[in-house]
Amino acid sequence: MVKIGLEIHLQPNTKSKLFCTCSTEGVEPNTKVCQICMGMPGSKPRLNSDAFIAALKLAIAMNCKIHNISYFARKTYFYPDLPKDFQITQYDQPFATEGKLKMKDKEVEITRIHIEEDPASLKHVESKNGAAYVLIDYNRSGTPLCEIVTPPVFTSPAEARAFLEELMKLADYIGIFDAQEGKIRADVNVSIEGHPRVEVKNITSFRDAERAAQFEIIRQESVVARGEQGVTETRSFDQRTGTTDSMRHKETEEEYGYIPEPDLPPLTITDPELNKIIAEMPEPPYQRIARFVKQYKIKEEQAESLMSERALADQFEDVCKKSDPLLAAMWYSYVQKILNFNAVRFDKTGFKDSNMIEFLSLLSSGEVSKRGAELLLRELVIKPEPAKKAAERLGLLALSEAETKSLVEKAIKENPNAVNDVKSGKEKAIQFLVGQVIRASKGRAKEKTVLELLDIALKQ
Amino acid sequence: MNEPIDKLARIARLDLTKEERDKFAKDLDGILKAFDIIAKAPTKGIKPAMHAVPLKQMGRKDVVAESMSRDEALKNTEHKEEGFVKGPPTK
Amino acid sequence: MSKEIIEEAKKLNEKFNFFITLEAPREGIPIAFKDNICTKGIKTSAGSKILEPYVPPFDATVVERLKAKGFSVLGKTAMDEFGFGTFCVNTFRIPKNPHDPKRSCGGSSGGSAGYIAASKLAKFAIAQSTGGSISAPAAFCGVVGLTPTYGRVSRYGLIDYANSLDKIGVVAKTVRDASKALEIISGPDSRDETCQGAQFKDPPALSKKITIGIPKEWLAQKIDPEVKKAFDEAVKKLQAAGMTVKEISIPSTPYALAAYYIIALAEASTNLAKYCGLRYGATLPLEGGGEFWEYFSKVRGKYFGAEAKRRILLGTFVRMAGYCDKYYIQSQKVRQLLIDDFKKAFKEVDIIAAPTMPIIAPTFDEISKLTPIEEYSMDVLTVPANVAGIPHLSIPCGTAKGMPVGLHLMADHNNDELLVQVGEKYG
Repeated sequence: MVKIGLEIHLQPNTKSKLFCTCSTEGVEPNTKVCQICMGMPGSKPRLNSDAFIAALKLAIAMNCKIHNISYFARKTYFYPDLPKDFQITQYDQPFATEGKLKMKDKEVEITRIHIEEDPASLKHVESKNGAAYVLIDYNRSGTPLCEIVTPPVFTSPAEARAFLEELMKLADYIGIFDAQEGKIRADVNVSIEGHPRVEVKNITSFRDAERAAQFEIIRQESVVARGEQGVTETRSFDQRTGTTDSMRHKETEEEYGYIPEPDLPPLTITDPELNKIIAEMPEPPYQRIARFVKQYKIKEEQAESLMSERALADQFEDVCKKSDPLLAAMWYSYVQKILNFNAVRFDKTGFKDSNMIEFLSLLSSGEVSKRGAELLLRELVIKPEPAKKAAERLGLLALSEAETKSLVEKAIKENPNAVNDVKSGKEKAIQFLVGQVIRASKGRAKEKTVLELLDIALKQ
Repeated sequence: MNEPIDKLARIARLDLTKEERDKFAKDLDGILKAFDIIAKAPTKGIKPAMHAVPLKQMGRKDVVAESMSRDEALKNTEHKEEGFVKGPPTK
Repeated sequence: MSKEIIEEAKKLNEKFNFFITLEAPREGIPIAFKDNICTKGIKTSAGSKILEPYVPPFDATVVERLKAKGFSVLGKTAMDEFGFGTFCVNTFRIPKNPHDPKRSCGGSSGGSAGYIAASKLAKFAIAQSTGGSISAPAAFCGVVGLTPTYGRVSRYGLIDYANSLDKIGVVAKTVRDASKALEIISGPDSRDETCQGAQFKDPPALSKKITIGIPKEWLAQKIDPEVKKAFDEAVKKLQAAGMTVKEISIPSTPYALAAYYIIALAEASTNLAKYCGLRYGATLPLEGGGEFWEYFSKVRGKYFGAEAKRRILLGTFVRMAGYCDKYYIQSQKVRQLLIDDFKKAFKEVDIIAAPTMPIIAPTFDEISKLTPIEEYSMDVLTVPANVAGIPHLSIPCGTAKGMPVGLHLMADHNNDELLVQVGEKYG
């Protein structure tokens, strides 16, 4: 019986750090630093309230119990990536506990959520003469992190990974995280029947979280099979080999000696403040999916895929006020293919509801064929402009009946064998002729019109 | 004192000579014995006072301000290389 | 004016070791700052070898506020390493008491107090208190020491000893001078989230009738009889000035000293973790320094003084899981008991009075013979007010055996103005 739990660190999309006003986006090393995030003597932390609000939104979206008063804590230990050799985090009184992430077919319990600061980033270097050292970049130091902890409720590595994907989507959906660029990492803890819990750290992707759990299960199984006594410990994941190594090293075992952070007042959120944030939260995805299916009569998969970005779901609803929901749902699916192909976020495209409404009406009125519509949408999503104007410019507007007739006549003339096939009763041959006309029209001929005209022409 | 002085020195990352270890172990015993008196304080039902005065939530909006220049930030150490702070190895 | 102050300071420094660093500012009235207050571009060591080379890239708020009023940095005064001490001997520069150079200035703000006592030109200097480090040297050196309510002066730029106990204050020749200086440096600062107290305003002369309370538990402490005599004279003087004097009780007194040290040392042991030979401060060569835990231990072992090490070890112990509740949390509860005791007392009286210190400034020889717990016990009269964060004022009140004695006055939270009014009235 496998038990897997997760400890996730997610960086909310704030512009500045948690306790100082340095930017969270440094490129050149040690260029976004100050006395606070470098831990210089005399500096004091100053809370980024918006980082707290981002964490609150995540906790609300996961149905957590929010505590009006909670405390920051000092976790003291020595490591070159800690500028103060203590981390300001939350310990026994985090701001959120006892939540639930509602997924499609299950509810995952959330033990707690808290905020803390990220340490600096370390690079290990081996110099030519064999001397080893680290290079430290404090750009990352002080970045806000939301830590989310689950109980050991996952029964397979795949399940744990699916949860991570859902969590990331939810954080993006409520606007506190960018699923494409945001930083999120997870430690896993694994135990199988007969083996105590083992924590695995140093995991940098969701796939590695799954791999780490897979390896741990196998490793623990072999320990038990050999009749050995398993050990509760912290292990490190080796990305290269997909294995975990013991990190136990007496010299570096830490005793954190937590005290409440004396440089900061208690972390407080009043009920009126909290209610204001709750009122501004979007409808939770699982609820919205059910409503879309009921209200717009679209398929559940279509509704799910609309949740990939909140802006997408929002625009869909706006568009449904003026256009047919089923048609809209179908074409928003195609929009997602375009986004994926171009590796771009929908909310960065500038594609407006008016663009889609116009596009769909061109389609409905037959001014653009299905094939032409696909080409048109590819352009519109990446470089939004009025749909009809774009269609004209790109030569995608459907052919008039007269233009189609002349192409039909040309196809009949050029394909006598197919014509004979049709006349001798082979119905499938008509599709060949239709295809020829549409090809010749570069997708602008409307299939219905072509069929009608072919019918008329061939009956003569 | 119930913890060996070596353990405390290791946690606190303090290299001590033998003389220091012996002296501090003795000092801490004496001091903690004197401190044991707080166990007698009538603190039943009393909440710990983290600060001497009540403090309200403060905090600021998420705005970015200019950072320190790298030169200034690294000025106080000679252990640096190519814009990084250089430190002792971790493995 | 500036030139004379600098010249005088140089001469006094040669004689008494008041300064770790002396500047020669061209503009502004030069003021001495305790060396745990960050001064941009000027070495700031907090009295410790481990920070001896450190040059802060920013000014503390109190420095900024004084500069804005036309003052400049004269120099950085000697102090016990990080504030760890009552006699200013736990450091590489030990100041001598100008009344008797064989005696201590008191600590940890020894340099600032000694300088004000000896100087003919300086009106005030900036000092700092965690458990009594403004009052003790003020009493020993015969000057005024004013420690405001916790949170009324910004700690931004103060090198931390104990964040919930540290307060920046003033030593001065007169209460009026201390008061004017406090007005400049005090007031809310968004860069220090614990600095939420109202700005202090230099008050007008006292006009109301004052009742003074003397805690019976404090007079029952071991106090030098000559010091007690000087205190009794001071009490008579207060009565002559029209103030009523009565006995009060601070029942949590027996626990105050232990609670102070446990809270202070627990916080200090975390504050001092950052000094490990990276980023700033004293270092060792990385080559041959070993892995990170070896290198850190070597640097810290080499550059911290004995008292700093002792306090770090103790502070680490009292917050370890398994001991934290018994020591650290229990001490925070005692802090609440003390606050409650003071609140109750201040319903009966306006001001509390006691001798500042139980002894006169000891000789360096006497100090060397003290055990750690004996040294800590010297703070017994100053720690209750410091733990409770109430404002306190030490005023010279006569002598004992030829050395200055201090009268300690205390007021309720945020009644710093009343405290100053009464101090002025005492004269």
